[in-house]
This record gives sequence, structure tokens and C-alpha cells, in this order.
Amino acid sequence: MDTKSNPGSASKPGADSKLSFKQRLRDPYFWSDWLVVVAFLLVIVVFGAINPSAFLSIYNLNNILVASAIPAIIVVGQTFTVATAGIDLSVSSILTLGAVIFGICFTKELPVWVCMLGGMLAGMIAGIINGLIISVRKINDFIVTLGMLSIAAGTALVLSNGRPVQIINSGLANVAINEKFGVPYLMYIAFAIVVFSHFLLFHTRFGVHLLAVGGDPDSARAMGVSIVRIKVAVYGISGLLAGFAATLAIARIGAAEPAANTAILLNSVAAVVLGGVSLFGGRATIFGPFVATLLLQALSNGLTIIGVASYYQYISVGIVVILSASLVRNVR
Amino acid sequence: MKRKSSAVILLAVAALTVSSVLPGQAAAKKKAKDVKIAAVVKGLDNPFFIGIKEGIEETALKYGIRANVQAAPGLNDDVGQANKLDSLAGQNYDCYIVIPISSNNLSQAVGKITKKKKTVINIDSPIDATSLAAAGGKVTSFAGTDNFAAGEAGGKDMIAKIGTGKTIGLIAGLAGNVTSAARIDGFKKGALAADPTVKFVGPENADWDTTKALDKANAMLLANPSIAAFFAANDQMAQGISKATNIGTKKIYGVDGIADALTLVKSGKISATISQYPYVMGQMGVQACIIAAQGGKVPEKTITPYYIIDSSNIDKALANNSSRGYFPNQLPPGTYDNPYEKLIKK
Amino acid sequence: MSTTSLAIECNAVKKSFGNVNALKGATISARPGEVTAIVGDNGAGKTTLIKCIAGVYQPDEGEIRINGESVTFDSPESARVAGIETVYQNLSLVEDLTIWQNLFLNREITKNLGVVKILNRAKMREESEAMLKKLDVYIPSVRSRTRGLSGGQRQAVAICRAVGWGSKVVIMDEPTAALGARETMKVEELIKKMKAQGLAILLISHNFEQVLRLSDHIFVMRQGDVIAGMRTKDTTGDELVALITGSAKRG
Repeated sequence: MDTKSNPGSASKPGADSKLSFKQRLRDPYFWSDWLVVVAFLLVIVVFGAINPSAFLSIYNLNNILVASAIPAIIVVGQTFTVATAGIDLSVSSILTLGAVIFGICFTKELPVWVCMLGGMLAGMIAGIINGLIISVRKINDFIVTLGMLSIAAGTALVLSNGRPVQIINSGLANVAINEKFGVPYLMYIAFAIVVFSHFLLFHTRFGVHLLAVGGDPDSARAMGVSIVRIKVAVYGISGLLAGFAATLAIARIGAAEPAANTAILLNSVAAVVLGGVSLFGGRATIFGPFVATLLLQALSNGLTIIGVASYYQYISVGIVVILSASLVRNVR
Repeated sequence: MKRKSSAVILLAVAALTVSSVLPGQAAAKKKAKDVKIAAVVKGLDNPFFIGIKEGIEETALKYGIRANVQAAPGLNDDVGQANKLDSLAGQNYDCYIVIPISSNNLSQAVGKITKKKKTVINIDSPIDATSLAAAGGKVTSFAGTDNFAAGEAGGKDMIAKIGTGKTIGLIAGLAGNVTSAARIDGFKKGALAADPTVKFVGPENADWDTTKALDKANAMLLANPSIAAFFAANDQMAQGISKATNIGTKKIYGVDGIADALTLVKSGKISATISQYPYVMGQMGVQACIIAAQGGKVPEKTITPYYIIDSSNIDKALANNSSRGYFPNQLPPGTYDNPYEKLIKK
Repeated sequence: MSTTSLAIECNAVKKSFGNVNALKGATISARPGEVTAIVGDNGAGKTTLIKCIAGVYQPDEGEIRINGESVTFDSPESARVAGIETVYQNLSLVEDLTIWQNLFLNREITKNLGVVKILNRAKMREESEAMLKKLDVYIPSVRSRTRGLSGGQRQAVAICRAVGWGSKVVIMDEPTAALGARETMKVEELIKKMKAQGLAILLISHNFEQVLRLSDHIFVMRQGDVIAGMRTKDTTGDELVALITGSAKRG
């Protein structure tokens, strides 16, 4: 019954003396936060140098921002789950489910905002179920959300009968197409979510508890933090954001598609890692993954513009992801 | 997008031999080799779309054009595909050839291109007209197969081969996929027209995948030993069915006409493939682009051919070798109508 | 001794896990301003007992009193509310959080904006510094992450957290097991300071020298029972060893 001594928790001699000497290295994660920004700028500079007229045109930068908006919202949710040492593999199919619910509401001629809320609610419920199973039944996040990936995708197909619902709504289309001060509306929405989530993570009680549960669930529990509540909340948020992103995806493509888009999932995990969020939990920023999303979209856009064949694009993106992730690791 | 820097405009003007303000008139003098073509196809993990890509690239090369062919990041990445088209739209291509992943996903991106007064040619799967109109987009020409008709022809042909009163197993692609649904629905219609007493098992979704189709076929045969023949919505799945345990000499029909399927038709492992000609779609797409750039009148809609390739015409189909090999039968074994070719000014 | 002078009492506490009787009726008590040590071999039931006191486990039978009042805890949270804090040897601070975040974990000072509880960071930092100062603990900045601290510094922070919340009883489970000699000395000084502030301290330690040095009263546990209790000044290390191994008995 006695607690065994844990050598891993013993002090690391020299570590703190070095830290007190070099103030800027006081936080060993400081540089990993900035690496993604450097990488992003590098991508802009490289493509800008190769084809400045096409890549750096306002038209194209606008394209990159439009393309980044929906992934950025999904990435925020993913960041929350990864910060609790979890992962949400169901985001892409929850997005699809949200879109299908939106489509069903739209066919019943409900107002667009009701359709949107319907999609968000469906997403949130799926997320809460994820969180409850993970925390109450103590089943691995990976497994539970993998199951939900399938369940949500299947539910979307069942509810939609496998058929897309065309959604023609000028208001939604305006949101997807238009811009203000050179920045697309979609990006304003995504950025607002990013800023609010940053606030939530670093300036609220919920945020501290989230990071505590991610960093050290046993210590958090010992201090009376409810793991269940935090897990349910983060997966609920992730689902809610996926459900919300569904509305934007509908605005973007003008239809509620019943087939899940797994590219969004892979993109979100890559962006979270590139953004310097620890897969072991407890360590996160919101802006890092956001910049990483811009990076990935700029990369894809730039490769397309300079005419790199699709096959090589897969390889390039993979290399950038792995390279950045290993750089982040080295910096740590 | 209105506030493009003057440098960009200057370069753009320099890049084009003529201004693109009024493409209908000004571009009329354009030589075929000066037409700049970009294409966004579906995911390239499917031989069918590789066939289209080859058709676009090789046809373009015949006219001295290097076409930039891009694919969606993934087979289902509808938004990602729209992003790709957006990326290309920022550059000064004269013409964009597109195959949408879904009937709606490229509408807005096409709308943006239309605003820039550039030509869009739609091949293979059609963009939905309503959503296109809502986004202010315009497609100059469509060239694609009629999947329903192809399925229908397969249904009639199969009944002729297996006789009446039989049970046919159906294996479909991804749930919710329009192409798969059209082929399956067409097949059923054709078979029922030839034999109202025909019975169907399925369709089971095997996601266009060889292995999944094999598993589904095994399960279906176990549950319904009376199945006399299979129809699969693509060749890869037909290939999977041919490896099923109790398949014996049951008839198997696939759709597409990919290289592997032709080999299997030749060796008798599968009975027939309803061959479509993606290469021809790519070819027509490029030709339509050139006609539009030359200011000619482009045919609005063209149905590309399909042929049932079985033991009777397999040798002829195999003779049309491709340089790269996925679709050996680049061109149909018989004649087909290409309304575009003759409209191109030399 | 009168009952009211005891900060905490456990009377005949029993706890079993399946077929294992981890506690067979343990009785101990601790006075304010004293260090009460619990010693015993691995598996003697020390940790189970303190986990019952800390609200982690619920006793099957028996009674726990605080300042003479009978209490039951359904969670560590309710024990904490009643004034019982625990400093675990390794299970205490979240490395990825800053010192002030750890000190205020689950007790954050917030401004409530509807359901959103906004942290009052400035106030918590300020109070964190005060909490550390109260026990003369010096750490470069309360804003630094706990990960960068030495084991001794972490234990000091954990102790300050336990003391800083107006607690009456502080349970310390092997507080120096993972520390070097110099850091152990510092933690022991902290324990003396806590004692001087009138807290009742329950100390679990395998280190007999430490127990003899710090404690005022010692309970010896063996196979789920408390087999002896005596004033520290009345015993020796040899006697403790004999009691723990079962080669001697004492009433």
C-alpha cells in the first residue's frame, strides 16, 4: 500500500541552475512555440521567392486564409483534447454528421441559424459521449474516438440516406466568399474562435484545470479536480467546434455532404503537433496550432502554384510535418 | 481580390500574348500551344483519375501545351479540392478543367474563376447547375460518361449471358457516392428490363476497394449460395470478387476498364468490364479549352463513350497501349464521336 | 489527555480490499503543534490509513474525529474542506503548471462572468508569494513552471500549499524520500515551522532518524494494526525496528 518512491520525479541536478542563468531559456518550451512561426515565415519566403506574382498576390493570400479557416476551427478543438493527453479522431466524421443534421433541418425549411445550432448540438452530443466513455469507463481516447469516427460517419450516412443535400443560401455563400479589409469573413470567424479559446485556456479556471488534468491527472485528481468534467468538456468543445465548422463547410461548398472527409482529421493532428502542443498533455498553446494550420495550407497552396505534381505534394507535406515535429523535439 | 498589385497585373499582361479582358474576341488569335491549362481532378489513388490525368497531359502535349494537373488532397477532401482550385485560380491560366468530388463542392471556386472571365471545362462528374448558378459560375462545356447508361447496358448484357430467373449480387462503392449509385441503379434497370424476374442481393458497399469487395463477396455467397453473377460498380471491386472462395465460374462484371481488369477479362477471371474512357474525357477537356481560347463555339455537352469489353473484343482493347499503362485501352475499340477535335483551328 | 485537545482521532478504522484486510481496526490520534509519526513496514497499512483520513478511501468501519467532532469524507475535496491537507511524496504538483497555478489548483481566485470563471492572476500571484514567504520558502518566481524546480523546491511548494489553506491537519507521506541530504534538511525545517504554527502533522517515514528527530509521538503499524503508540522521547531506534519487525511488543 505504501507509495513507492519514483526516481522520475527526483530533481534533475543542474537543471535549475542553468535555467536561472539563462532567463530566456527559463521555459524550455519557449522556442518550440516560436518554431512554427519561423517555419511559416520560411514557407512564405520560399514560395514568395519562387513565384512572387502568383503566391504573394492579395488574391492568393486571401485564398490561403479562406482555406485555413475551417481547419483552424477543427484544430482548436483538437488542441483542447490533445492538451488533456487525449486525441479526437472523430472530428472529421462529427463535422460530416453536423453537416447532415444541418441539411435535414434545411430541407424542413427551418431558418439557417436553427440548422446551424442543430449541427452544433449534434456535434456537441457526440463529443460529450466521447468524453463520458473516456473518463467514466476509462477507455483509451484513441479507441473511443476511433469508434465514434465510425459511428458518426455511419449515422450521417443513415440520416442522409447517403445523399448530399444542396444548400443554396445567399447569406451563407456571402460568408464564404466575401471579405473585409482584405481578410475573408471565414478567417474573422476562425480567428475569433482562436482568440476566445486562448482566453479560455489561459485565463479561466477551466483552462488551468484542463492543463492540470493533461499534465498530471493523478495530481489533479488529488487536488479535487474532476477528470470526468474536464474530459467531457474538452470532447464536448471539440464536437461543438466540428459541428460549427460543418456550417462553414456548407457555406464553402454549398452542400451537406454525407461522406466524411478524413483529410481534415489528419490535418488537425499534424497542426497540433507542429504547433508545439505536447501529445503527452499539459502543454498547449492555441496560437501555435493556428499558425501551423496557416503553414500547412500555405504549403499546399504554394506547391500547387509552383506546379509540383500532386504525388510529390503528399511527400513534401509529410516531410515538413515530420521535420518540424523532430525539430520541436530537439529544441525541447 | 480586386486590389491586385500593379506589378501582378503587369506580369500577367506580359505573360499572356493578348489581354484577357474580352476573351471571346481578343483571344481568338491564340495559337493552340499558347493556351495555358490547369486541371483539378479527384484523388489520384484511383486508376480512373490517373487515366484522365494522362488524357489531359498527353493531349495537351500533342498541342505543345504543358498542362498543370492537380488532384484533391484526398479522395473525399471536398473542401481541400476547392482550395486547390482557388490556388490555381490566382494564376493566369486561360482554362480550368475540373472534376468535382461532389456535385457542389467546386461551385464557389468556379464562380470566382468565372468572375475573372476565364473558361471552365467540366469533365467526368457534372457540377450541379443550381449551385453553380447560385455561385455565379459558368461551365463552358461538359464531357463525361453517362454512368447510368453504362450500368444499364451492363445489366442487359449480363441477363443475355446468364439467362432469366437468376440472382445477381451487387457491390457498390462508397456509401453516398453518386457515381456508384448511378451505375448500380442503371444496372438494375437494365437487368429488370431484360428479365423482370431477376433477383438482386445487395448492394453492399465495398468502398471501391478490392479487399473489401472480396470480403463482401465471400459473405454474400455464404448467405446466398444461389447468386449466379456479380456486378461491381468498379473494376477494382470486380477484381476482389474474382478472388472469392466459392466464385467458381460465376459471371462478374465491373465498370471502368482499368488495366488489371482487362488482364482478368483476357484470362477469363472476370467476364466483362463496362469500359469507360477517362483518357477520352481528358482529351476532350483539353480540346474544349483550346476551342474556347481560340474564341470558337464549344459544344455544351458531350457524352463520352462506353464499351462492354469481354472475350469477344478483349484483344482489340488490349492493343491500344498507353505509354503509362493504367488504362491500356486509352481509346475505344470502335469508333466514337469527338465533336471537339474538328473545331480546333490549326 | 482530554479529547478536545486532539486535532484528529481515528478509532478502530477498518478497511479491506476484496479479501485483503488492509486495516484491521487502527486507532491513532494527533495533537496540534506536534508531529505524529506513523511507522511500519511496507504493507503495514500506513498509506491506507492516511488515505482514509484524507478522504481518498472511505473506511468500512470505525470513526474519524476532527477536533472532537465525528466526520465522514466522501472525497479528498471534503477532507480538504474540513482542514485536512496531504503532501504526497510524488503525487502533488502538476509539472506543466506554474507555481502559482499549482498553489491555487482547484481553489482559484476568479471573477465570474456568467459560467466563465476568469482567473484573477495578479491576485493569485501576489498571494502565492505570501504563502511561500510565510514559511520562508524562496523560489525565483511564482510564474515559473514547476517542471524547472528541484525536488526540494517542489516539496516546499507542496508544503506551502498544504499550510496555506488554513488547514488543521497536514498529512505528509514520505516527504523527503526522493530528496538529497541538503533538501531533506530544508524540508525538515519547514516541518518544524509548521509545527510552530500549531498544525497537527501526521508524518509517514521510513527514515527512523528523521522520525526520532522530528516527531513528538510515534505510532507503529504492523499487518493492518496499530501495535504501539508512545512519546518519541520514550523510545529508541532499536525499539522501533524491533516493533516493526515483530520481534518485540509494547502496549
